Amino acid sequence: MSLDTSSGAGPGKLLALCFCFVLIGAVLLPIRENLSRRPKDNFPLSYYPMFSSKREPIETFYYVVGLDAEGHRSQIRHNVIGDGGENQVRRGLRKTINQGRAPELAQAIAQRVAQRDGRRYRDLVSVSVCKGKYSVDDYFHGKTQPVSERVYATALVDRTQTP
Amino acid sequence: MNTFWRRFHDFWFEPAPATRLALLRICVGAFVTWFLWDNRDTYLKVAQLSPQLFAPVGVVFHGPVALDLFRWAFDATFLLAIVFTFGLWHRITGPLFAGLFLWLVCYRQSWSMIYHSDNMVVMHVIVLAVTRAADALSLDAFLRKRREPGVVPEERVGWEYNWPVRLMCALVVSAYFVTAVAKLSGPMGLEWMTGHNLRAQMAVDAMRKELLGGRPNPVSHALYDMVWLFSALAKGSLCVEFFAPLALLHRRAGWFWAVNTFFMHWGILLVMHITFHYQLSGVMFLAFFPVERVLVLWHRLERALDVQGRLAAPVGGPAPIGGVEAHGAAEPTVSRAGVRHPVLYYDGECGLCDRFVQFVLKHDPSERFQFATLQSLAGRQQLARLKLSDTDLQTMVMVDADASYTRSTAALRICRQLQAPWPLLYTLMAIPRPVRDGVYSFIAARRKLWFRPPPECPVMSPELRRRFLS
Repeated sequence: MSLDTSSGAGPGKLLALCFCFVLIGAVLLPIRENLSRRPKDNFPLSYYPMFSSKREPIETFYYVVGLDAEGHRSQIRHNVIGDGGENQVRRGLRKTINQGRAPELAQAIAQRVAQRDGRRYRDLVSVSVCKGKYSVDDYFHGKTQPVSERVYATALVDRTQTP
Repeated sequence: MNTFWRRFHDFWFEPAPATRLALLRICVGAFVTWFLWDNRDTYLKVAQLSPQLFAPVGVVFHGPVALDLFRWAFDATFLLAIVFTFGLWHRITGPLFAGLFLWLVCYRQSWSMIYHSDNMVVMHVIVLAVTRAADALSLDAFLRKRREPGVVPEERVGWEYNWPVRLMCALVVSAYFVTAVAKLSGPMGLEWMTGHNLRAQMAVDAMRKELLGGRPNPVSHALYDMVWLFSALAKGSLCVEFFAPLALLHRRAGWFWAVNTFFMHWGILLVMHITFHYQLSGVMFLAFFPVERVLVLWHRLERALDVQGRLAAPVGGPAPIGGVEAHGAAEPTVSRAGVRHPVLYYDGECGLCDRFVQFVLKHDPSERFQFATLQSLAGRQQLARLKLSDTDLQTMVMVDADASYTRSTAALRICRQLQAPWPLLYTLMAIPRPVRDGVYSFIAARRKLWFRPPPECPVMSPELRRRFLS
């Protein structure tokens, strides 16, 4: 390697090059996770697993539904389920269900629903934390009901305790 | 091999103006400042989630921290982002900011959800924080100019200002290349280019949002059956990502790639409602462009504003201080040391003007300014030159070099020549002159009501008296 040292900047350039190689190498290094049996994502150095995952015709989703007295369903919004945005809530929901803490989550959501008097929530009598399998193609052709659904926990919306 | 290294060296260390890196610092710093401001609530709420969701990533090697500590860290990072943007004590505050910002964003991602789109802003902050990004267009540069009057940081050119920019570009294209590898090395392989998986990804993303109570995205539903479109988008996006490193090879290739990728993210927003703030803002791609050319436009604008603010009155040549007092000359004066002195003409019976003169005296340690009342002979001559009435003293007049300035332009040009931080007020010149002057006139019309003149004049030292021409 021939670096310009005439201006006395050689060591500086060498240091700069090392810094560049380290940083670029760090960004490229996660590529190896694609070959790993148990790949692990990280931040800010990621291998972007969402791009390598294959989507299936039947996909699994985690969500919370509310039921009114007549049994009509409505989806509970992510900001009622938890904080941090849609994706944060989705991940948190899945992890909470997998950790077996769905009943306490359902209870917390029911309390939050009870405190809301908007049209969307005022008629709800219960909320259920669910995992459902949906046919993606059917969903986009108007059949929005799940192929199968498992309810992990249900809690009643108790408005008598609401201040 | 030597030829390769020489070419690489010439490419990577090609001299660039200090303003290029400095502008990137300002843009990235401003973006982070806005980002933190906009996300403060979310960050604080996430920090209160159940500890059972906590899964540390990046530089976070510990468990959840106390909320108060996190709030302090967040606010400190926010303040440092502002300091970083303005480039104050950059050698210390830069790395400190980068470290805290890296920790903060990693901590936010440690609650079971990684937002991959935040990674590049973190990498760019790291690059800018440890390089000489505050050598120009910064408070550091301003302070240096005051210490060493001959230095003009904005005109500096050197290899140390280019490689960080190249590195920022290289990091961006590397990240996109990694995503391309992820697509191709997944179970789909080259089949990814058929677009089926992209279509399914779009569909699943839309369903997730709807099942979590979001409104259906009409674009997703409208496009779902257009398989050919997803095939084209998949090929296009894969090309953009896989061949991203080619964007480094030529300036125009970089521009082309950056513009394409920028619009790709806007397309993703339209179709999938996914918001990649750093990418969508365009700040991530600025390193691919000679951003310092914006300064040329800025100087043109500044000149145009100067022309607006400058009045047509011709001003004569300089005269020595002694001559000014004796003959009541209205021009900027020249001291015995040969330094041209701007002159501020003000209403001698106005309390606000008196306070402003005191303010200028206090913040003009190099004793640049001289003063005269508009009621003096010199002042009346100046008003006559500017075709202004000598009874309606609604404006101060500043005579500097070969031009005269009035109203808000005069006030802001005076501030520009005072000690820090008052020159920052000069950025208000970007406001159209009618608006600025409207505010000035509003205050000027009420100045005698709001600000009473001092009951008596302070006794001035001979040095101070010499700066008053009347």
